[in-house]
Amino acid sequence: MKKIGAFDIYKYLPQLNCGDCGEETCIAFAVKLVSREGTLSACLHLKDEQIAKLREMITPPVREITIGAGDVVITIGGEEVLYRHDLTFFNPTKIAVEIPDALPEEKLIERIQAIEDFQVEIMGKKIGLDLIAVRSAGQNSGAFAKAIHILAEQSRKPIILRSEDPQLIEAGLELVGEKKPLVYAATAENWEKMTELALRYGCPLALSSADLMELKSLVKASLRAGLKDLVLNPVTAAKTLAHALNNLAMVRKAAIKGDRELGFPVVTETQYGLTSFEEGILASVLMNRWASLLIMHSLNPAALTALLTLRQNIYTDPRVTPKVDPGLYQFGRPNKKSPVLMTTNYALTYYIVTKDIREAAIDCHLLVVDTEGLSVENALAAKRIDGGKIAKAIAEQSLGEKVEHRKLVIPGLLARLKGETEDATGWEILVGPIYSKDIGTYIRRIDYG
Amino acid sequence: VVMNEEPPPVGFEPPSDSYPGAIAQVKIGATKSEGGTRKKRFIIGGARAPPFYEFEHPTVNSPVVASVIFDSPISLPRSVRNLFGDVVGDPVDWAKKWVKEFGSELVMVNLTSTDPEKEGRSPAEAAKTVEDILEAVDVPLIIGGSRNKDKDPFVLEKVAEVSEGECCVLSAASLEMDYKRVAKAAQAYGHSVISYSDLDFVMQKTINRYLLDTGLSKERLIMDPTTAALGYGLEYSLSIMERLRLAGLKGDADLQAPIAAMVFNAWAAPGAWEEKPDEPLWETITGVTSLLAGADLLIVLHPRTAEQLNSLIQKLTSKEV
Repeated sequence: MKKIGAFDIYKYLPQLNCGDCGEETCIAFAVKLVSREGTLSACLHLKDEQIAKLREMITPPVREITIGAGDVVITIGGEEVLYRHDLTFFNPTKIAVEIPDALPEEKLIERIQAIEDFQVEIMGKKIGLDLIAVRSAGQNSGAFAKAIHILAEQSRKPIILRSEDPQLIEAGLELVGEKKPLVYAATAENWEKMTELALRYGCPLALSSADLMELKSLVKASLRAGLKDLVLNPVTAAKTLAHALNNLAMVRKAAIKGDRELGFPVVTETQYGLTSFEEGILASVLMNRWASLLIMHSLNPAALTALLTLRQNIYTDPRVTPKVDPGLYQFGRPNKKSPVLMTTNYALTYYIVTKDIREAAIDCHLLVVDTEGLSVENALAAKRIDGGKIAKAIAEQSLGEKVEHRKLVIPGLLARLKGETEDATGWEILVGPIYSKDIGTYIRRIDYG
Repeated sequence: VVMNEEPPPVGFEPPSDSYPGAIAQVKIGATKSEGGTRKKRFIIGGARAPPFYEFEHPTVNSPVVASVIFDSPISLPRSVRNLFGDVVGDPVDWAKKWVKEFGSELVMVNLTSTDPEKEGRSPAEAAKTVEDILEAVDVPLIIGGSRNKDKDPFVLEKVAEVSEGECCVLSAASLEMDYKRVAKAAQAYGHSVISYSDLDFVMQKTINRYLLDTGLSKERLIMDPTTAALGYGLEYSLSIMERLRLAGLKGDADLQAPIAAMVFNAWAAPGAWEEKPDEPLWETITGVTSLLAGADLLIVLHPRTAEQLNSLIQKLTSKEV
């Protein structure tokens, strides 16, 4: 499919340059629409047919779908490319943890609480899990309804209702239909009833088949019935992992090439019966293969932390270097006798170092040198850090007035800059640890008078 | 709404592309019949489509997992120390343990002891270490220097000479060093070279071009565009590997080299050091991501990472698609 450009959009705009949308010109507005920084409704001078045409043009090849209602909503899909370097990925994989309805009430509440409470800090942001999936472990609509009832009381996260039995799904929708859960999943066997339920309750529906021709046919039937919010699962029924991965690649590639019937986000899940280590690895494979939504069966904090970190990596916008402002930062309550540490302004470096400083509970100053957003190791290799740059940062921050001593701790990886930095700054350069987790032990050994 | 009809029939053609280029095939290790003494040898590369896009082209050669060792004392996470603590510092025993106890079929030894800032051992001493390892284990070797740009060319030249005919891999040649010396030694003694760039597409293309210009044949070139750790820039590596692979498939002759991923760099991430000893997720996920981005050779520090990556490669190349 030909990529839509700002000029394609511009043709359908009023071309009044009135400024009502907040942009000075229509072409500037078109640029905003193309980069998805603006919304069509900002333009007050569009006729209905123009709106319809423009909406069609700016709808991404992988449509954007929401699960949930009110302010408890997650968004998946909305993707435009196969590779992140072609533009960027927009909506990070949402992670759901599953609870089986067969658990006794106490255990159910415990597990829901654990999912609610799970939180990890990545790049200075606290991140939790996105959804909770309830699975009918048996064929008991009483147990399923009860688990959903408990979930609705204990959690505010968007919900996935998981059963292939339409009667069970209906029982669940009677309880939480207003929360617009994802109905999971319709197959070739049950699609009529599932589609009917999803339509009646206005909920998104997952379609599941490992045969892409059958999957497309299910999409077509659902669209024909009037359902627009679809999510595809080409994975669970696949016989092998190779088959699943090929399906994922084909669905995404077909969507990007303009196949509207496969242009929906994909939902994937890990297998049952894996250790949490194996499950984490499988989940990382699926996340690397365009999973928009990922259902995990176990709640293992170590695996989830690694996965959320992977998600942060994959969904970082490659057009933007993640960096923080260079400068002098304070931790704890530093005074004129407190240590001065130094690092570079790559955001990940900064967040790791500051986390370790906080954990070490030391009072100190941290000099963040501008390396154009490169990490310590990369900055050294690319010659974006040297004695001169460090001297300049010291001068700019008037570091000599902030502390009485003249000791600067540099990262262990910069050991070879010790001499030139001493020459350039006149400060005593102390080569710190390679890993910032060792900062506490290291600093406590130094005498600052 | 009443739906009393069957789902409508639709057509589906796999969205396959064909690619004008192919990745070169590089041999690692030489058996007796090939003039070496290795029990087994590997061929990596040969891709004609993005990794594991079986619907476009079957995997030509399965990616290979290698294990890493160092010839001087090194700070290791507890989980690795538990397994190798008794042999760390002794590259011969470390290699033996990898091969005999953990079934490693390919070993990378990094001659970090040659670093003038460390023990500063001579190229001849390093060559002796390599000879000892070749004697002690019968798997193919990847031989790395100490990443000292002035000394590495001399170290690699010497080890190339003493391992003549074994079809080793020399790591690495970069723009800022005497890469010609490394390339010439590889070509003269029948080894391959890993070219190295620091997450830089243009630099990777340039060093590859320069190495090929020295007369190094395409079947002797592997590239290492740097593997950054999970949580510590992995996205850069992932995207560079994908770009390099696609450029090669589209016909850029400078970039048709198999990709090596130094997955053990994953241990630079603080999270990796906090894990349960037998569950190296950070290293494994770094490996998984590299593998799916196009890496043909994955070099790891933890035996369970090797086990998991091997199992994944086997599943992904299973013929039952």
